[in-house]
Amino acid sequence: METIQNLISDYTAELAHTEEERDLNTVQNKKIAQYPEEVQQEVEQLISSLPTMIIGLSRENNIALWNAEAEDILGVGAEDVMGLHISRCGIDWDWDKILDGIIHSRYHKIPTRVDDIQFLRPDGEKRYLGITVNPLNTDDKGILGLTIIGADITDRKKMESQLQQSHKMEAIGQLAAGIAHEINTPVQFVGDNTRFFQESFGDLIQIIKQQQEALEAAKSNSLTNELIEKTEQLIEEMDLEYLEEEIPVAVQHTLKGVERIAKIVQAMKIFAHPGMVAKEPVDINKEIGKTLTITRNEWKYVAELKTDFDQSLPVVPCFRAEVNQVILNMIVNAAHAIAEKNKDNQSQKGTIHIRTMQEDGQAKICIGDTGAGIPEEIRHKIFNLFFTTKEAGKGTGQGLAISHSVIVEKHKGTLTLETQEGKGTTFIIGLPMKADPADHEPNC
Amino acid sequence: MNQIAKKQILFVDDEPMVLKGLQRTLRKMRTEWEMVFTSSGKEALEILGQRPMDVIVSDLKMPEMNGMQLLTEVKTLHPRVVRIILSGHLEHEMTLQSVQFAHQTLSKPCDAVILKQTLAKLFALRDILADEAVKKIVSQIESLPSLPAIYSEIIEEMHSEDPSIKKVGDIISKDLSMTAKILQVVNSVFFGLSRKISSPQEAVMLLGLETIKALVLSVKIFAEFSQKKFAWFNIDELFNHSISVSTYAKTIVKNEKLGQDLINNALMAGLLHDLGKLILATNFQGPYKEVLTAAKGSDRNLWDLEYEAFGTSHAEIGAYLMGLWSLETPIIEAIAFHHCPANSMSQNMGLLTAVHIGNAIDHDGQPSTNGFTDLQYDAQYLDTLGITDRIPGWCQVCSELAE
Repeated sequence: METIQNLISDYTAELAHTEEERDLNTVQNKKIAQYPEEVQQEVEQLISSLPTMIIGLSRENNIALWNAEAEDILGVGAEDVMGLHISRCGIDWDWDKILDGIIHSRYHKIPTRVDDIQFLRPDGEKRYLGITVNPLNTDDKGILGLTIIGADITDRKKMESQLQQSHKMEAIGQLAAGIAHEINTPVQFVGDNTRFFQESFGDLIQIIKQQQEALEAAKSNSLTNELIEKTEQLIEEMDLEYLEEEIPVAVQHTLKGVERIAKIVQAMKIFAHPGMVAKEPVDINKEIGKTLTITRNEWKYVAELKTDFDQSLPVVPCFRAEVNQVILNMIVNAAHAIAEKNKDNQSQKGTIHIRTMQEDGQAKICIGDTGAGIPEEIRHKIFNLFFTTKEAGKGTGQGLAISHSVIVEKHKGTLTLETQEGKGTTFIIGLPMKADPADHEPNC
Repeated sequence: MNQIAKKQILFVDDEPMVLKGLQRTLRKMRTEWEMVFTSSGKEALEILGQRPMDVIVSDLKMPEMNGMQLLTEVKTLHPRVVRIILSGHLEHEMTLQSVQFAHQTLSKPCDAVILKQTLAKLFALRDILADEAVKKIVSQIESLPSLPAIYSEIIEEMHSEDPSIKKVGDIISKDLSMTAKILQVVNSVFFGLSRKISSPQEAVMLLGLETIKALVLSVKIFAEFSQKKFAWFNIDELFNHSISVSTYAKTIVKNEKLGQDLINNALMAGLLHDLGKLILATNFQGPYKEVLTAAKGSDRNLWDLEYEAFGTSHAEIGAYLMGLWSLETPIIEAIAFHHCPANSMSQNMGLLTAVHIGNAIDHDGQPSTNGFTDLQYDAQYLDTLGITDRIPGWCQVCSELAE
């Protein structure tokens, strides 16, 4: 790819450089004269057969080159656009991004990559482009032109999102059993307590009725010792003292249980959104709290949890669902690392330490475990897609790769780790606290 | 209150609120049950070391010592304690494994009514069937072996490319140990079935091939009978007899038009009625070999000799184990009283009657090569039920079947 790109750049540079006339059509004709015809033809064939979109612009941003792949992707023929100023090519694409790319490339004289450019084909299909704008190296007369080399990345984007979705499914699947356990436990005691209320209510009604009888008797002056005794006996039998003591506690427990269930169900909503198109202000501490609720069953048997949250942490603009998924993944990984280290001594508990803080304009989330650490020789591989040390069926090796793509690529953040063999690993997520102006996509 | 000793139950759960809930909802039983609650496996073992318990009800997933470790310890240290899992955990493999260390598995949330019923049924079973001798024997059972031929058949089917669920069901239904074990699994409340299953074919269907595969290949619920180690014990004869009685009992029930449910139960009760013999033979080799040898040269009943040697007989032993595994009460009753139906509570023609007669017919029709006289009809019992005159008819249909 690199060589083809160079070839094209050189070719177009040459083409622009040797030309005095500004009219590119003529430029081309003139230039032709300098190359043997067969070479010229070969190069043209080569360009048109490349499975890459290539658009060449003159210094005035007139379209000088429009290869077959460009016709294919954009749905517009070369004959319709050649010689036109790029702004008049009539393509319905994200102009801000295209122009930003061209300007950036011209100004800094460096190739500029622009991704996720939405465009609408004449047939109405909405697709995505990824392009690189290459300035042409010419020393004497400044930059004469540039090339836009690119590809339709719609399918790749789709696959990525499917991969991410499938990873999310995997995470849900793994957590489902744990979440069920977390819900079943409170349901058990809420149910038991309710049965107890049912029985106790019957007992209390009996006591009240008996007392009423005694009261009525007292009113009509017919209260006998026998009736008093009977009432007292019933109170003792029903163990009123116990009920008086126990019912309020049972109510407390029941409310706690219901609250616990509600909290889990609330937290489960982080799975519900397929992911927003735009960033939104997110309270990171709160999101970590939810994720901890959901994953509780994964870590509570193997680790103590320590949290140090920076309470002054402002909301951070990010894709909530994606960031949650990364945090979830990190917490589950931390629990697994500790469980793996202590597998021969299950009474040994490790520690998961989660901190949030502000540093260098970033909101930092540190997720540390006291697991076995990551051996030197595989450290460089852990962010690779499909790399896993877990046994078959336990992990697909997508978690960290997707985390990396979410944090570094999508959020322009950082994802680093500190690890010490035998001591543990800390993953540090850094998210920019200021919104990137480029994120405000005009169309959403 | 009468002076029957209170039943001792130990509850273990790492969630104190679950323990408190159980304590409250079971409080009304406190006149009959003595309940102890603890939140750790270690403490549970300490308590068991200090005082005898009848039943332990434990959570599965707990920190430090989980339910599997706890109950495995209890199985070794206090084998007579009945072990029940009460877990909200759904991880498939762990729950399947529980058949290896727990008698029954209940899943959370478990309605207090069901918990009470389960415990009450167990206590009734222990009171009626299990004296110390039975408890002692059943507590020492390690495994229920299967016929080698059937065992290799099922392993082969599991390893085949495309195992057939029907075939698997048919294989299991030929083997009493496999049948007993698979019914224990399917009837564990974990699978959430509202009714008891008493047909291995149906059990296999409900569990599905994947689960059966996990049970057979990784949990290893079946074991192979070692013909070499037990050369003195004619396992083929026992299996043939069991299958015959199973068929006869079914035929009799069918003949009496007692209903489809009872037909299935008759098949099971017939198949499992002598399970106790297998238990005695494989777990008490020396003494049981002597009993069988003595029976050969004597005209005394086999179970009388068993009583002399063990203080109980194969009937009670088989029935008690099946009760612990939560099979249906009529099946347990039929197993327990198949020699002496008059001792049972039920005074109607039913499963027990069918198994009793089926058993008699088979012993009469094919004199045992072990040479012992097993049993005759309990003429008085049949007389009380008023069915003596029907025996020739049943013999007739059964012998037609045998041909």
